Amino acid sequence: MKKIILFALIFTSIIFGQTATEIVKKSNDNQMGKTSQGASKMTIIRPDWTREVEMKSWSKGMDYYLIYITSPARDLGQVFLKRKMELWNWMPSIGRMIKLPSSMMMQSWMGSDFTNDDLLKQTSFVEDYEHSIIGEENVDNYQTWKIEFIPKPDAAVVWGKIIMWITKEHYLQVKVEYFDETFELINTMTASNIKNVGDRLLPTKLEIIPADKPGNKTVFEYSKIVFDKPISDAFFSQQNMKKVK
Amino acid sequence: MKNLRINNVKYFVISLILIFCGSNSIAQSSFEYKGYVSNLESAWLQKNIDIMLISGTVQNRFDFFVYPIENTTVNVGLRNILEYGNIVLVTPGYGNMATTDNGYLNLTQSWRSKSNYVIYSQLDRLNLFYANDAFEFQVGRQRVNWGVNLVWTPNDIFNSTSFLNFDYEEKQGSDAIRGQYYFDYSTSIEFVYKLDKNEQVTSALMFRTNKWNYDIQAFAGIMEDDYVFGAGWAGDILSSNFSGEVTYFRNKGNFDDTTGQLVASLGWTYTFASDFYVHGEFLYNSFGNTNSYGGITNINSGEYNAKMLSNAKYSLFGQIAYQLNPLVRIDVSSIINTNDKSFYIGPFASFSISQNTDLLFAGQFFFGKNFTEWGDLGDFYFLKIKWSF
Repeated sequence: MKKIILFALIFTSIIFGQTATEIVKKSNDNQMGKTSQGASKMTIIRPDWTREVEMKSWSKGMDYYLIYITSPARDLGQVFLKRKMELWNWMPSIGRMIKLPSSMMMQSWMGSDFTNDDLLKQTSFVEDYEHSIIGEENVDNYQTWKIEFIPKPDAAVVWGKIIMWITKEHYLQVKVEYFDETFELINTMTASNIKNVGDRLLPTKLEIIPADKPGNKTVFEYSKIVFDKPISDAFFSQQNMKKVK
Repeated sequence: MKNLRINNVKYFVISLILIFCGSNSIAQSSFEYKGYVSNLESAWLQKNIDIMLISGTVQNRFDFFVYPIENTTVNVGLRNILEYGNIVLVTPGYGNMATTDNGYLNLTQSWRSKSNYVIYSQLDRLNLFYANDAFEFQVGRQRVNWGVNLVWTPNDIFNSTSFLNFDYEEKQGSDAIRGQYYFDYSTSIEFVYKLDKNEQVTSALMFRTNKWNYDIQAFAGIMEDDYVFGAGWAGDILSSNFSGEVTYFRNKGNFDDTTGQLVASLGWTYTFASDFYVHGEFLYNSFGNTNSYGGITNINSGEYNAKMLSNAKYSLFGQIAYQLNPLVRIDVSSIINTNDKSFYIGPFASFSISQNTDLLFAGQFFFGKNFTEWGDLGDFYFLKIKWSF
């Protein structure tokens, strides 16, 4: 029976002319743009307290990321740069450039439920996984494809499986579930506040909720985001880490 | 040249206020500042003496950034400090020592120096920074940081500071002129010329590049009485960070008939997904002592430099840190002199108690026989509270 459903789904996707990978790629391209630049706020929420981190960020494709911390005061002016597989941290108060080990990628981003990899994208939703459509569901009144991601054998990724709900209209990632190697649910990401941000529709609020920690979550909100405004490769340089603000 | 020195910090403060007021009225965004107020309380249990010395430091720091014209930043770092308690009381001339400025310019002003407290202000950053597409230029008091490792930095010939001196997070600046030209995103040459309070010159030319996923650097120049040649690297091995730096010092006066000094350090860092962080370093000093009575390393900023990171020939550093949750970080570090068998252990626990307030409990415990590198220092306990704005 399962085989028949799977067959039917594959058949449907062929009819519509799109494979799961094509959907994921389209969605990813929409979400990332050729370039992006924006300002955002991350709120770490725990049952007894909250902490906020504000930042500006710039990206170009998957390879180039730059993040400038604007708040809290303690961390103001710190800069993170990613170029391909390499990472640096500029600490202006001590005038120090630190090359970060790639093992940092799986660590939490400034104490939140996001990992450094979520923000700096060393692994790719498109390149590092095999995708298959496993259903169609309604999420928050959006018709979505339910797509399963299984890591490719040689991909250096931390998740054992990912399930993503992508809207049929506009290709928005409205919900993502992250599973570990034993396929146990670890985090659920939901996207909301879908707005027109210049040239495209995009969720401007992301919430990540750990499965086993009631009352814990991290909320990520864009206050500003602009896509496809040209940024030169030189922007993502050690020199610019000292200048950017 | 001496008359060029400005011996009163007041004039600087007044003229800076004028700059800020002026720029602030032109455009709101052309001026930024940040800072903090902190209080460190310490208890020192000296070795073999049954007295506890209780002391404290209140620090207020401002960092001002003025952007008068495009591509240009004026950075001013102002510290206002009150030191009080038993250490001030029992150390002869403490007030003078604390307010001695090691820079070419005297930008430290003592406001009040009594037997048991001293109040002073210091500008540890006062520089103009200009950068265009490929070139940057910085003049004035600035931090020139050539170190690669996190604890022992033989390549930091301008302003090495001791790992143990944790209360002064920003570290002192150097009075220098610095120019840097970038060939691409990571390849550059940098020239620095620094003068200290005795008009001694430290100056060198640095080349940096990135190859095979490694940051690589090499430099040549002079550091006071020595010619210096150095190199360093930082890169990735099996997801961990592997870094190192080597500096060779050779006396200018007797270049032919003396042997040089070699100082080198290796560092290794790994971060586990579980938020455990481990870090180790190794230091070699060719002029270091190998006997069991190595002599104390002076960790005060004035005397601590790239040649004298430790009196020992071989030193080891280890650190384990654990982020218990976003608010609590626990960290234990240790330095071991492998020759005289003296060692240091420092447990630190820091707590974020509100968005902008941090609390630190710390200890610095020293062990070893008398007259060894660490054996005579005793035990220190610290409590620090810091509010950032």
